[in-house]
Amino acid sequence: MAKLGAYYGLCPLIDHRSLLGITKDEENGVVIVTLGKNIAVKYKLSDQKQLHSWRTKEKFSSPIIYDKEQSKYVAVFNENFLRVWSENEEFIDKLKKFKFNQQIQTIFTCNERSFIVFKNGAVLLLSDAIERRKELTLESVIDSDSESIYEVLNASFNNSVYVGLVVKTNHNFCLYWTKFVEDIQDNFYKISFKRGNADLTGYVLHVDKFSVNFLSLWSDGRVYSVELKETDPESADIGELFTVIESISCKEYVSLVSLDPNYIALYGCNSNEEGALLVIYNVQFKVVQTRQSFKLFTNGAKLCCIDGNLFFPVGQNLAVLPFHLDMEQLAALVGSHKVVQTEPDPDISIVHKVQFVSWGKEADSDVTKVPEKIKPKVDDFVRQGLSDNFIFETLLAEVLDEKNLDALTQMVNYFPDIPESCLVKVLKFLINLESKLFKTKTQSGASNFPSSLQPVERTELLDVILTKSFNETLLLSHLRSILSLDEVLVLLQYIHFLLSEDGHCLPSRNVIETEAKLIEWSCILLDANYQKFLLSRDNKISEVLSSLKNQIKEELGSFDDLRQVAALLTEIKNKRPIQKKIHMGGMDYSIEDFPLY
Amino acid sequence: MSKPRNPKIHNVRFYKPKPNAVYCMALQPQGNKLAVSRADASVEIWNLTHCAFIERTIASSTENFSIEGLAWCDDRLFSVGLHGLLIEYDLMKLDLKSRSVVTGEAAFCLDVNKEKTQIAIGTEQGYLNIFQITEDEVLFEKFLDKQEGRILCLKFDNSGEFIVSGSMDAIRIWSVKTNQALHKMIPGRAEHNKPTIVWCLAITQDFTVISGDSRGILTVWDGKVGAQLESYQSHRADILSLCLSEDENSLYCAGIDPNVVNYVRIEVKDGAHKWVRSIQRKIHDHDVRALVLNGNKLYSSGVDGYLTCSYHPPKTLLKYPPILQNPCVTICAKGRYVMLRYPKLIEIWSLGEIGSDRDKHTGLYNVEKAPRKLVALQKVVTDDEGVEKHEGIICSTISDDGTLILYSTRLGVRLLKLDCGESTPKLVPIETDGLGVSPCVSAKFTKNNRLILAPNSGGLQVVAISSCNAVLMQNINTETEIEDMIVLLAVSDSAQFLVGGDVRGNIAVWTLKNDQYVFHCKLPKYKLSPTAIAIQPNSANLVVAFNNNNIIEYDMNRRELTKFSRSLAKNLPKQLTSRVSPIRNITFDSRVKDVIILHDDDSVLVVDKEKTTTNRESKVRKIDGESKEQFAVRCIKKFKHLVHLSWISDDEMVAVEVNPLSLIEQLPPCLVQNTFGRK
Repeated sequence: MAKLGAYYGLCPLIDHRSLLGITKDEENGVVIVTLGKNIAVKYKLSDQKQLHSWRTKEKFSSPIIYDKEQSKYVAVFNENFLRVWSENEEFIDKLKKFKFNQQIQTIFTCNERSFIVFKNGAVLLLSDAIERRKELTLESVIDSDSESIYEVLNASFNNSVYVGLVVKTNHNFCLYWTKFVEDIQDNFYKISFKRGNADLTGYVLHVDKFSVNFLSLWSDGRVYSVELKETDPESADIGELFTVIESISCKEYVSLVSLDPNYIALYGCNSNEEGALLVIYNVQFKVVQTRQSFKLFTNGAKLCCIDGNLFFPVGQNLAVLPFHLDMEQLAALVGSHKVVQTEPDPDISIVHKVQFVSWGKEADSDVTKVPEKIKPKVDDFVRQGLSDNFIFETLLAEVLDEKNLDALTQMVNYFPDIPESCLVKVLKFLINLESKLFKTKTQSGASNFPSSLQPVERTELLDVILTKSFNETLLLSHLRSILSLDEVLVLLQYIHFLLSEDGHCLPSRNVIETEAKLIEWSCILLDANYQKFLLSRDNKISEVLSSLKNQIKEELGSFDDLRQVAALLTEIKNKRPIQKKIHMGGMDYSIEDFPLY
Repeated sequence: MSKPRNPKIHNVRFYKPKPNAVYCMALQPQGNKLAVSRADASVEIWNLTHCAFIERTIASSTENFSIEGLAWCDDRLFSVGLHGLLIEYDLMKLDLKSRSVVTGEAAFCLDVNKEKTQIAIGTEQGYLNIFQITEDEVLFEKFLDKQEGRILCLKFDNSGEFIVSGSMDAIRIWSVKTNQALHKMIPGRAEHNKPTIVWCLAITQDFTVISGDSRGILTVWDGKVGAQLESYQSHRADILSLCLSEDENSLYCAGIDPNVVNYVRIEVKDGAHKWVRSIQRKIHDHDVRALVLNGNKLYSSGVDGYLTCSYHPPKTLLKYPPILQNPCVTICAKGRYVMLRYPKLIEIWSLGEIGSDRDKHTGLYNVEKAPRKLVALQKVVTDDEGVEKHEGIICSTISDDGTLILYSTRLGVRLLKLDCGESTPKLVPIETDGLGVSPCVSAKFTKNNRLILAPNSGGLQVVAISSCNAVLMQNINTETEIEDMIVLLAVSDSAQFLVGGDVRGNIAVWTLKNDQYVFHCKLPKYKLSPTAIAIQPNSANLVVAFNNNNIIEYDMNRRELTKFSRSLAKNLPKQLTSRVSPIRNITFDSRVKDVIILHDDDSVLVVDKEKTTTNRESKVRKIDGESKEQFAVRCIKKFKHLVHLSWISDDEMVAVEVNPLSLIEQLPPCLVQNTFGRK
């Protein structure tokens, strides 16, 4: 979670273009604002008080930085010499000049080291450069004629400092980057950017958990990310499309700054091009986390981040916006996510790497197995794009008319989802079907097997129906309207038979699942016919219901047994002596067997 | 012989007598008897030889509603109470013998001097009354100088010349001769504005006075000079009772703080003596009101109602529950009722009916029809101020078919006819002209509609009962056979034999001849007291259980002990002799004639006359080759406070049990004690 605090103005600006930069002072909470070419002020952020200021006759050509290595302030003057002074120095004009024979672009600190960047692209450690300034010969990194340094970026990662030079060539931008690993400088690598119809409007070096990436923002709102890798000294890969920024208009320059591995801040023109907008963007989840709009947009204004504060010019003021980054909380992101639509841009081809995973072969083979008998019809319906539900319903009507048992069996087995009305229809059909239509005549020998449901083949099909899942509310009305009382009784008898000792499990269900299913069915059957049962005086009904009741009572009784046994087993497991005595102190009266003999 | 089928048993647990707190106890060492008075002013006389049992009870009455002090004078028992009366009891008639008014309103304490000539009584108004004991009455002699404040405890010294009395903030030593207080000793106060109450006193031979008070402090005084010798913060709350051993070297004290603490007198340098705290016994949870030492056995009791006997060695603790004297439960097998006797109330309940099925796990049968309370009987007496009070019940019985009820209070007997019609039970009194005047101590209905009464005046009465009246048929003179009141009565099923017994061991048999009972025989007399008698159905065998849990079987036809009884006497089974509570009841299985079923407080004993076992425990081989065979006794420990056990049909029994928890439930809260680590 990122939160923005209330912003406040730190100091008035002469002109945002003349602002050279804002840098950290020795103490936390104190910043040095190099306001213009000859004025710099030290401010305390907590009360916005001016602590110190420097004026010079010679002009600054870089922000004043505080060099921690020598605990002194350093600034570049006139693009060709440095001055180094300590805090209590008031007049810096008279101090010693460290003159260089090369033009200096700027100086900066990163990871408590100070660096100097020359106009020709050379980057050196500041201390090193000062020491060897006399004999310094610098190799040009960029072609000074056609290229010029547009901006210097830096980032630190794994104790190495990455320095990137955004260089503007005649038509294009490119990035020269190098890294310092423990003061040893690596080679320069070049990445040139070119996109046909979009211009580069923003960039930042972003360090995430694993790598340093160069994010480039283009005028169509797209952000590309390329990892800085020492593989290719020159490449033209601007990386993958990272995200699309919509809330900020990217036609003008957008200033980006990396806040931490998960967040970047963007400052630019509002998407409706009225005023400015500051956005904190979550790189990890690719969502805008928080935003702050401002009335006035200043073109070319640069963001700067120091110790949890964002600095940026707003109109004629330098604004400070404290921010707070919290722990990542997915909950806060719910609903805020938006999937990036891939563009129909002909220039860019995005390769989606899709991995096909097989989740188990069975499912696949199951899908294809349409029973032969109904295959032509089913295929026909499938081609029409009809649902299983509908297909079944249509097919069933025919099958029932024809009394085609084989087809019915196959259908019932094939379709996993059968509409509730059809379930009831099939039930009714099966119960009433003449037994001669069944091929096998095997009779069940069990005494409590309902006689009207012989032969066994009938019940085999019935079992399949009973395994099907259903929605109670939908089924209820069908049960009530389609099944007659006698049919319900037969069904209940059958359920009673299944629950009894002679009963068997439903196909591909174990005992527990079978019982659950049967109880579910008997409940709904009772529910559907509750009133009929109540009003009817038929002996058969009470017979069936009481047999069912006894069955359930018996089962509950055995649960009771198990509960007692469980307690006993626990006692045994805990190695406690088994107490035979029953505590009857609470009972005022009891009758039991008395072990007199 | 195949095992007979086990009967079904009706466990009756709705008999919940209130545990009446014990207020006073007094020991009669010659007879080894302990008089115990309870909160309802009933007095129980416990026989302490062998298993302690209640041999007689003087029921509470509206006349004597309070007992604050209890004392024996030889065989005579005296008490005082808040009614300001000195009462002498007639232990033969279980009634009050005489009443003498005490000067100074409510009396709190009494003591008899060593010569047994005088009784001193301490009163509310501070008068110390002296009564003279004569042969058959007590006479008021005098009262000593009035003191300020009530006298809560007093004791005669050994010589009888001095009386030490304890009251609020003071212990006084009186001279009986001069009627004057000689010394006043002040125990001091624990809190400035809270007077110290001296609750109990003891005096040694050398006139050392020991007192326990409301501060929980035990103080030793020199009575000769009236000065304090020693003082111990003994208890956390009031010491209510203390008792001194016979040799006067040990004393026990306890009170609201129920720890019974023992102090022992030890010799220190130069023949000087000192009391030191010794062991303590945690045997009560509630206030201990009374302590009595009988030899090395300490009897203690209090608010919990349990009479507790503790001694060492061997470390023993016996607890006798606050259950009324036998028989307090009468079962009518034919009517299937159970009559429960409470101190001032009789309840008649119908028994439950056995359902067809039973719980598989607990083995309990379903109770088809729950037991129902049919009748509650009370004798209401209106006193002078018009306040209704309940008279204590002396005895009660119910006929076997449940139609006739008899109960007796001190005002006489009442005979009622119970008609349990369809809905509400009806009670119709039956005229008892001529026999209802004197109370009776025990009674029994025979199967042929006769009633045997034992009036407290002695003898036995046979009453014939018709539908509307009762006619006295015969007066049996028992003087020659029986010395004491008849507490045990048994009539054979055919009414042929009538057996009566007293606590002194006299048991006599009368037989029916020409519709008149004539003396038949007398059983051999033992020094033991019988606690239960019963006649085996369909035989002439009489079984008597004694207070040492010995049993005899007597053939009334042959007038001799049976063979079984004689061989049993030679080698008593350990299961019988090791019992600590007396046999409460004897019953027989009508299906099996060789079995006697006995029960005491917690066990049922089944004695098989036909089966014998060899005593395996004895390792010493008998040289004379005498067989060590014992009769098989099966002991069933299933109950706690089993009050009654008998048969109601061939395969059904009734066990009336008092749940100890139901007793505890009814007790007031006890003194809060912090146990270690808990608050």
